Amino acid sequence: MNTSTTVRQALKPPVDVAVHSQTQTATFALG
Amino acid sequence: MLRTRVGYAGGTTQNPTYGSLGDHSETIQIEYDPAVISYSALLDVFWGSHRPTRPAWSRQYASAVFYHNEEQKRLALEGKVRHEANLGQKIYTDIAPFTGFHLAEDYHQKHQLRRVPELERELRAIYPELGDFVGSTAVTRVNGYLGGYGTLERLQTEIEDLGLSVAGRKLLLDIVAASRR
Repeated sequence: MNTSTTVRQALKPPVDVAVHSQTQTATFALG
Repeated sequence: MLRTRVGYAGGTTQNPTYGSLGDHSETIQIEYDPAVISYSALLDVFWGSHRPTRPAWSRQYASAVFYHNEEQKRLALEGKVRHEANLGQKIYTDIAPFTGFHLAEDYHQKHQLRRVPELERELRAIYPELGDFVGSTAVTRVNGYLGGYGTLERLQTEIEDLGLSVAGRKLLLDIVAASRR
């Protein structure tokens, strides 16, 4: 991991660091 | 809602682009926590967001549910029957298995956020790569609030978690407060 990647990791918003125990995906086409 | 992204799905064309979609349809993909929102609730939004009572002009603008498992298939088929009964009209929505998703070009993603360059700039500084940017929950949520979804009170509870500067937080709160009056 280079320096800029490390810095960006540190800047990650808390909401993106939060771990979700289960996620699901939905895919739609709305015409 | 954890993540949203737009792209192309449902077809067989390799490497589709907006200018060369082939047999794909314009699609939204949503990643969600089923403990917070159910697939049935997402389907309700889907049915309520458009009115596919005529066949689509083209595959590009087709109405479709691409199901990821048997439970989603069952709920989509049941919902379609119910929606047709409610409307008293045939619904031209394909219920088909999900076979793959192709991310749309950068300029199609996060339209609401693009209207506020100050906020877009802050989040792109954290996520310079397109895949990371559209895959970010923070970006998804800021985009959603700017699009008129979610309440000011809810935003106030999570504003500190969205990765924005002090000025960015104030700007987002001001925009949402003004738009929810």
